[in-house]
Amino acid sequence: MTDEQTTLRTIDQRVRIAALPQTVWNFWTDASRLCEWWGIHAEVEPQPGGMFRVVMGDDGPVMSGTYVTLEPFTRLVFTFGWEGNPMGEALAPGTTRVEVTLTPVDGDTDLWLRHSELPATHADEHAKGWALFVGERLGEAVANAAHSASAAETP
Amino acid sequence: MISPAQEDSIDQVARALSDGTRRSILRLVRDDERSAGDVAEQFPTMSRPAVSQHLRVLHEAGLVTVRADGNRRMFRSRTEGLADMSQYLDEMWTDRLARLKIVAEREEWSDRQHRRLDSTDSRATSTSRKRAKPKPSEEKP
Repeated sequence: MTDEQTTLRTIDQRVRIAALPQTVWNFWTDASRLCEWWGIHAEVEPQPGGMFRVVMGDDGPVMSGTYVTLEPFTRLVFTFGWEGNPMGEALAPGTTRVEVTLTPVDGDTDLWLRHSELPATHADEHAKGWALFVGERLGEAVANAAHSASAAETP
Repeated sequence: MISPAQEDSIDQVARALSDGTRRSILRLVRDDERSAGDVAEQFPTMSRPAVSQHLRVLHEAGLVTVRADGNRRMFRSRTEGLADMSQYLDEMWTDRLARLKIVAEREEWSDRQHRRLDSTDSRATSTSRKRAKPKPSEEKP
């Protein structure tokens, strides 16, 4: 049998945020901040082994995991699993791993997210669809953010 | 966006993958086509009907293909079956990180605005102090 690494896939995402790493950090460790972008309800204990739970919507799935590593403003690791639909019991709490790295670049933050140990196969077959998607969606999001940022800049 | 049909498919895949034995079976048939008997041999502690049941769940979720070879049933993993779930997570992170970018930048800008207002306030205070200064000298003569 081939080793498990080849059958498990990884999602890699990168986004540049015009904010300092400490600002971005709080959005991963503060329950009310998490509710501004990820879910409608969050319970967090931001310490190694602490609970990390995000309810993504009224009928949405519930992310359930624990914080593994917290290196303030630079690196965060947590386990990721689902409690409810639409993913059912796959990716049960603790089965996959998310690593978030924040790197300061000219007053901005380069956020790199790696979601690994996903029970899927053949990462290359997915890369094409993913690249297409990032091209469209992130481009749009960046344009929107740049617009609102410049709007905020003008008094 | 994910269609309702895709969501059903995700749900089915998710249920199929919720079991450790089924995940092991999937890995087993990833590179090689194997008969049901072959698969069962890898799980000596499990009954043949139990293994057959696991294979059935995997097949219904679209995770494995099955073909008849004489009186044997041959199984092989079908990687497209996992595409929906992977797509869901990819989409989720893209969507949420785009939102994170927007809210974090908004937060940063309001922080900077406050800092700017604070510094404007202190400048105003120092200006009024400067204005106040000449008063004593006016009193001198």
